[in-house]
Amino acid sequence: MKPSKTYTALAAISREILADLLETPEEQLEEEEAADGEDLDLVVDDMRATLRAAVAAAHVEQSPQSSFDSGRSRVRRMLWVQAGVAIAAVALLAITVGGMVLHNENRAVTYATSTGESRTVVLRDGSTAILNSQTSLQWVGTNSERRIQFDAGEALFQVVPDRTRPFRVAIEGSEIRVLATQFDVYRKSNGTVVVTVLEGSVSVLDSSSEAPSWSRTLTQNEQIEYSDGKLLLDVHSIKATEVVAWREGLFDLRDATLSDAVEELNRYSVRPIILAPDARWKDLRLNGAMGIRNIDATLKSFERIVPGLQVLRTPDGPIVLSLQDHSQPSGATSHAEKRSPR
Amino acid sequence: MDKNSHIWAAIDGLSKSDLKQLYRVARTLLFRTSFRDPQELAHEALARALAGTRQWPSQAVPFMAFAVMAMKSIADASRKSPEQARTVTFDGFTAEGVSLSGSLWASATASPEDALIESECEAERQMQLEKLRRHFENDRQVRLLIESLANRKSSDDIRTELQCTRGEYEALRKRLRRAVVKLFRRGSRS
Repeated sequence: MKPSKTYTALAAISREILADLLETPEEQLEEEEAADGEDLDLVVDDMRATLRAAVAAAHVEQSPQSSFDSGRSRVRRMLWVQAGVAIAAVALLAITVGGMVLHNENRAVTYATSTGESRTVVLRDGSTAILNSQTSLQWVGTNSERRIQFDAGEALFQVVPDRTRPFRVAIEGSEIRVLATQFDVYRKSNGTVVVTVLEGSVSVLDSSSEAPSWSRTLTQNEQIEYSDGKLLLDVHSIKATEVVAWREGLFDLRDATLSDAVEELNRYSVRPIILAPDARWKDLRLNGAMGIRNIDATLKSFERIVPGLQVLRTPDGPIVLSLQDHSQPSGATSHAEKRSPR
Repeated sequence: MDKNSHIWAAIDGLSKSDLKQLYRVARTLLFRTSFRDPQELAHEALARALAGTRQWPSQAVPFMAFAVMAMKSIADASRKSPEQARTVTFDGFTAEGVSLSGSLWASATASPEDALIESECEAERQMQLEKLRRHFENDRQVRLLIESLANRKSSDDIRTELQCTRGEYEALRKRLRRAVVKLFRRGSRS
């Protein structure tokens, strides 16, 4: 596709200001920054810390002593994860709490994302977490223990090996224990927790009482779901890469109702999306990949594929989905067994 | 020996001044990408080098120059093929209860959706340009500079048209750069 005139215009502006930047002496740039009240030293210290953590993590992974060494591809993947979205969280937090020592692993650090936001953070031990929308978690580790307090939302963890310090995630009356692996944790708004393993293995155990009522070990492509200390879905097989399609801005719908889809979209939408009460919704089943980053485009696609669907967009209120009178979703699979998409 | 060891060494060897420069370049390019923080863009460039998707000809090109070009290239590509191209895959949908999972990914670039994505992208680009124009509403010289650049005029032609010296032209360009950094400090949607 030929670039548009606007694209060309922005490219030209970009070229010109980049040329100006590269031609301007550093002293002058620092003067400009000082005049604007900016201190790049803080930012750069953080950049360096982040890069060093990545280098150190890569060296650990490549160490012959590491029994978890699974080759260079893993290192590359980790760097991709680290570079993927938003390592900046470390910098912002470091600036926010100013005066604290960057590498002090004993300091609690909170990482959070707002609605529709996704970001990658490098934890104090060099492990990474990709945070999905509306997620909040805290690093509460010490020099002898790696620990996460998981409060809300969903995160995909890539844990670097350290046999002397198991990595633990405390969440909703349970604990997830790992050594080195890749796993996804999703705490739904109703408190249900879903743990999915992409690589390696994790132990999940009830920690709501002194004597755990259950404990399970999950390996690659296995998932468990529980709530209030009770198992809802015991260990079962699942295609883990589909569970974490949110990293690509997608959500995989399998025989899902529109209500399932809307519930998922609401995780990413600043404005609430509501389904107008209608008995006909239950006859509609959706299959496929749903975009979750551009809510408006996804709703437009709903309008196109669901006959009679109306999307009412009020200026500041919720977005309401309704069906026109006498409309029947064509070809709907009536009475199909409902299955959660997750 | 790790084939990336020279890249790791180069990353490890980046001085404070280098990192500042990387950050500044990334910040300048941010308005044309989907990134929200300059560090994201800088790290993306380094990660691509490590992943091998951007080759660093280490014998011929200094690492800093390579990193700057990598960031520029990512910025250029970002608006040509936005990530929404993969995320808005509603062509994978069906209301008929037929699973399209097998063709889900392959069908992600169907042309009707491409057109929609392109139109959204174009709208966003126009908003960025409009934001810049509005910012310089009362600065006729920079506004003319923007329009001239938009019309693909060379810097010599622009200087002739604006009847300004090289020094004056550079001052205009600097005002434009500083405005772009401030206006889009949280990315193109800021």
